[in-house]
Order: sequence, then C-alpha cells, then structure tokens
Amino acid sequence: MQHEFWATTILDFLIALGVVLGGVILGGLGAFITDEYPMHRMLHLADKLKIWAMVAAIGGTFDTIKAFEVNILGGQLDLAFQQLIFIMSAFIGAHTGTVLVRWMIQGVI
Amino acid sequence: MARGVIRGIKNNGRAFVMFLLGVCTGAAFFLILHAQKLDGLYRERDAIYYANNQKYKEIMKLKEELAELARKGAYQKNYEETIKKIEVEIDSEEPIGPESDIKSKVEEMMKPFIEKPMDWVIKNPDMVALVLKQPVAIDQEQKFQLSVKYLSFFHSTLRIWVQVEEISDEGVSDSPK
Repeated sequence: MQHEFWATTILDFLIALGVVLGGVILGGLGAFITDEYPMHRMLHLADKLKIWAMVAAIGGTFDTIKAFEVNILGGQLDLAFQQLIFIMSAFIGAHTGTVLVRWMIQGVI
Repeated sequence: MARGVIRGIKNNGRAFVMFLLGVCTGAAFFLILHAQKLDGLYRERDAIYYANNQKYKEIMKLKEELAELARKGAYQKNYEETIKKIEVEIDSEEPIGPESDIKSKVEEMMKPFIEKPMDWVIKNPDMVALVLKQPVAIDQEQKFQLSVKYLSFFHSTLRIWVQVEEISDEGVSDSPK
C-alpha cells in the first residue's frame, strides 16, 4: 500500500515534468519549423503547459474530484489526503519543468 | 515501389521508430544547444526587415517628391518661360494727370520684351531701365522722365513700377546768351 503510494507520487511528478519538458522542446522545434522565435515560444509554452501537465499526470480532473467526493463522504480522509499529495506531486513536477525551462532560456531560476 | 517501401517499414518497424526517436532527440539537442543563437538571428532578421521597410518607405516618398518637382518643373518650362503680359504701375508722390496715357506709352515701349525669356530679363534688368530712360512725351507741352523702381515676375507676367517726374521747360531759353 505504502509502496504503491510512493510509486504513484513519483510517477505523477515525472509525468508532469515530462509533459512540460517534452511539450516545450517539441513546441520549440515546431516554432523553429514555422519560422518563429524558438526560445520565446518555449518560454510561453512552459507557462501554458503547466496546468495541462498536472491534469495529464493525475489522469483527468473529473476522476480526481470523484475520488475526493467518494473518500470524503465515505469517511476515508487519509485517502482524500493521498489524492491531495498526488496533485501536489504533479504540481511540483510541472513547476520543476517550468523552472528548468526558464533556467535554460533566461539563465535565472 | 510503394508496396516495397511499406513492406520494408513493416519488416523493420522497430528500426524505423528508433530512427524517428533519434531524429526527435537530435532535434531536441540541436534546439537546446542553438536556440539562443537562433533567437538572436531571428531578432536581427526582423530588425533588418524593419530597416528595409523604412528605407523602402523613404524611397517611395522621395520618388513622389521627385515626380512632383518634375511636374512643377515642366509646368514652369511650359508656362513661365517667356513674358506674355506686361503690367505697368505708376509710383509717384504727386498726382500725375495723364496716368493712363503714360501707362499705355510705357507698355508700348516695353513691347519688344514680350515673348522674351524671363531668365534673360531677370539677368539683365538694366535693359528695362535703358529702354525707359528716354522721356515720354504725351503731347507737345507735357514731358515725363521715367525711372524704374521695381520689377516683379509672376508666372508669365512682368510688372513694372515706374517713378514719373514731369519735366518742365519753364526758364529754359532756346537762344544762347
């Protein structure tokens, strides 16, 4: 049970990080192909993809909200707290990705 | 041919996918390494485009100005090159009786200047003074001395301001003493 919790937490973190980094790099390539500023587009995408990276990592907002409802109404507050941790983990992963991209482009974290 | 290619891809699907992934990875590395330089070059290109655009606008403006000046020049050449009309104005402190007669006399005297190039008159204003130097006789009794005060050129009209002074014969005897 505990192993599964940590595995999901790490998975959410890395998925969110991968969505941001992958999206930014491939988006930058797209910008280069379509004759735009790659760095500028990457920076813009890093901010834009953050929320979608979180959504992708936790597997869709609706399921999470449903799980929240079931757990809270069923009195299983520890499971609801677990869901919160997963969301936080995804958020930290997405934010890390954005910070890394910003650091790569602007040289400032 | 196409079938052969499709069969080749199917047989080596894994290699093909690896190739595509390799392309993506290479492109990503290229972007990470050179994106900053690319941005700088794009910015430089935009600045050059802007400067080029400004220069083009400037050229168009100058061309328009040139065309307008050429039009004005042609107009001047066609219509202002020669004197078509001469107007005389009398400038005198005291009232002169036969003003209209003097005007018509002066216009008569100035007739040789009609159809003459304006430039020539502008460069030789003393010619006008010379022509108007001789006294004008309206009748046997009245004689007037003229002197040119101003000349003005407007389009094809030459306007002359003339100072008039009556010459009196009183006190002048014909017989020598």
